[in-house]
Amino acid sequence: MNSAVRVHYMDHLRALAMLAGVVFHAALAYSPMLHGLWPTADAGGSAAIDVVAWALHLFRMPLFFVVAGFFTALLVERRGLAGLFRTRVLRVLLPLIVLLPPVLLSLHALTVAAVTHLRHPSPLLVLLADYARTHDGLPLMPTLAHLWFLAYLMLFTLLVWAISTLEPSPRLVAALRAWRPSWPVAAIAPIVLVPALAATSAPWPAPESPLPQLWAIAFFGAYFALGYALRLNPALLDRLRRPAQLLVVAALALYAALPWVLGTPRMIPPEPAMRWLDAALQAFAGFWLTLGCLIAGRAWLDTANPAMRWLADAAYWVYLVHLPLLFALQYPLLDVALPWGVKFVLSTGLTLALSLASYQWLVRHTWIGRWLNGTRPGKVAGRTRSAALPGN
Amino acid sequence: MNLFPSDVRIVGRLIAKDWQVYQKQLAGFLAGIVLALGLIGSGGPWWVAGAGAMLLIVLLVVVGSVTIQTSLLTERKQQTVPFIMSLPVSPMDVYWGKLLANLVIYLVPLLLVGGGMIALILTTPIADGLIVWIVLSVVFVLTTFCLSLCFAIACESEGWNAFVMLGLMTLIGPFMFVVGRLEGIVEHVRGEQVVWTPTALAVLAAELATIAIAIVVTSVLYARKRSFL
Repeated sequence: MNSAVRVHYMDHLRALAMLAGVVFHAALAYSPMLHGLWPTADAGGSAAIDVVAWALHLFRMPLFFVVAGFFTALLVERRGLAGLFRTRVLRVLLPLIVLLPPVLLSLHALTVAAVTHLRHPSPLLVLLADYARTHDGLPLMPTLAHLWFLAYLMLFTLLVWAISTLEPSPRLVAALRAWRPSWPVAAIAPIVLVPALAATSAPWPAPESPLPQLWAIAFFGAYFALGYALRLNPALLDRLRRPAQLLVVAALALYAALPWVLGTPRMIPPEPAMRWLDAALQAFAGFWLTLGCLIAGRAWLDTANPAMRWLADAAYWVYLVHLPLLFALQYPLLDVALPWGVKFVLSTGLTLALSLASYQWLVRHTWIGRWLNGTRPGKVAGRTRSAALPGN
Repeated sequence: MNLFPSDVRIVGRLIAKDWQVYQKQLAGFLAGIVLALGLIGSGGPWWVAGAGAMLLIVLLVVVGSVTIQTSLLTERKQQTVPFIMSLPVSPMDVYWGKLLANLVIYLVPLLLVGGGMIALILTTPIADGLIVWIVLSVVFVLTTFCLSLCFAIACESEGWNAFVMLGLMTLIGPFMFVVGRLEGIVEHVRGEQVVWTPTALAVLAAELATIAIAIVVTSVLYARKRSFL
């Protein structure tokens, strides 16, 4: 995409959402809540990690899907449905098919090595070691790992085709394009997300199964649709700028009522009332935080900036490769006697440094970069706002 | 007698034409398939997954009959033949166009459903040995579709077509029941290994041979036609 017509704030938000994913995955090793479930769980950790990391979790993938929906609408507008399919197959489906096997094999190999050699394994590694002893090895689990978002992106692309083919009423589309919702709509809109979140555990898990999960289709699909609508109607959020600040404050207040923040864990499985309450708290807090990010991004990040542009270009590659790198660093750190904070900073920093360096040297100026990001990266035209696009 | 089209590009255009004409129905089916796969993958109570599986099978059967009904039988009712006669296409071009367009349109949901079921088995505690039975059942559904399609191309009688289509549909359930109990298949269904025994391979070969024979016979019958009428 030519830099003169780039939608900078969306590019930058996508980059930040993906980089936040690296920080989030690194933080899970020091999360007391996931101590028994995460393979690189360290003996050290803090409840503060749970409070911060899971807050990030509430809006980083929703934000990513809003951005994905926005760019899908942009692609349909510029290249039509056939162009959308060509681009998505090349830049989403093929990376998923090509990268999933090495990602799964490397994660499996790292876990097998950790099970065999670590002196201070995590609780999950201990369980896996027991399993390996009784079952003659560890099976390779056929999951989508952290690349699940690519599968859902393809699924939503198919649904965009299905909905476009069914030709929604022109009056409905015109009404959507002209709609300027005010704060009460934003205040109650998250209610549509509650049933989806009530159908899964809290905090919502990554839908890594190769089969699509209904709750994830509904939940992320709603955010994808919001992004799509945002492209059709760039003024959609115009009347929400002021109330957004209040909504973010309200989101943080609701987030503070979630069990992992209050320190009041639920029964497993939780009672139905508690399940619905947690779903509602997550839905409202996550939606309002995502809305806040969109409005803040449009206000503060809508300029061409060479550093941010480089980061935006690098973010996709970084996200694709970060998890095996992170595990390769965090497994040996389990045996190292350092404060958890130091390990967290070290593993996050090194993962980012290695993946960003590999992007610069192996990807950016090679066919891999052209494959993942499209055209060869060019010079950015100074610090200009992205007003070149109509409605932006 | 020429069994093949006179112009492959024309056949390609005819396939694209049918794809465009029927993509609305396909879009609806696709949405239904996503919903069904989502129900199966939801990890909820068994009846939710069961409802998803049932929806998948119903969708497959419905897609097949709707495709044949709209692309062949309804077009005939609408008297499209006189118009086709005015175009620079041979009867075999139209034949291959119809056959391949229907197959392409049907294979999209069929592969989605088959792939989804296999993914379900591989990623859940369900015994992997079931995959053989699933493959044989899905290929049988494809076989019934091909037979219905070939019959609809060869025979213009709407009554006979409805009879054949319904008759073949009723065989799907008994086939799945009988094959699931065949010696050489039944003993591996609950196992963790995917075992292609000679029995399973023979059933698969019979299905594929039936499809091939149906297409060849219909091609020969159609190739005898000197004109569209």
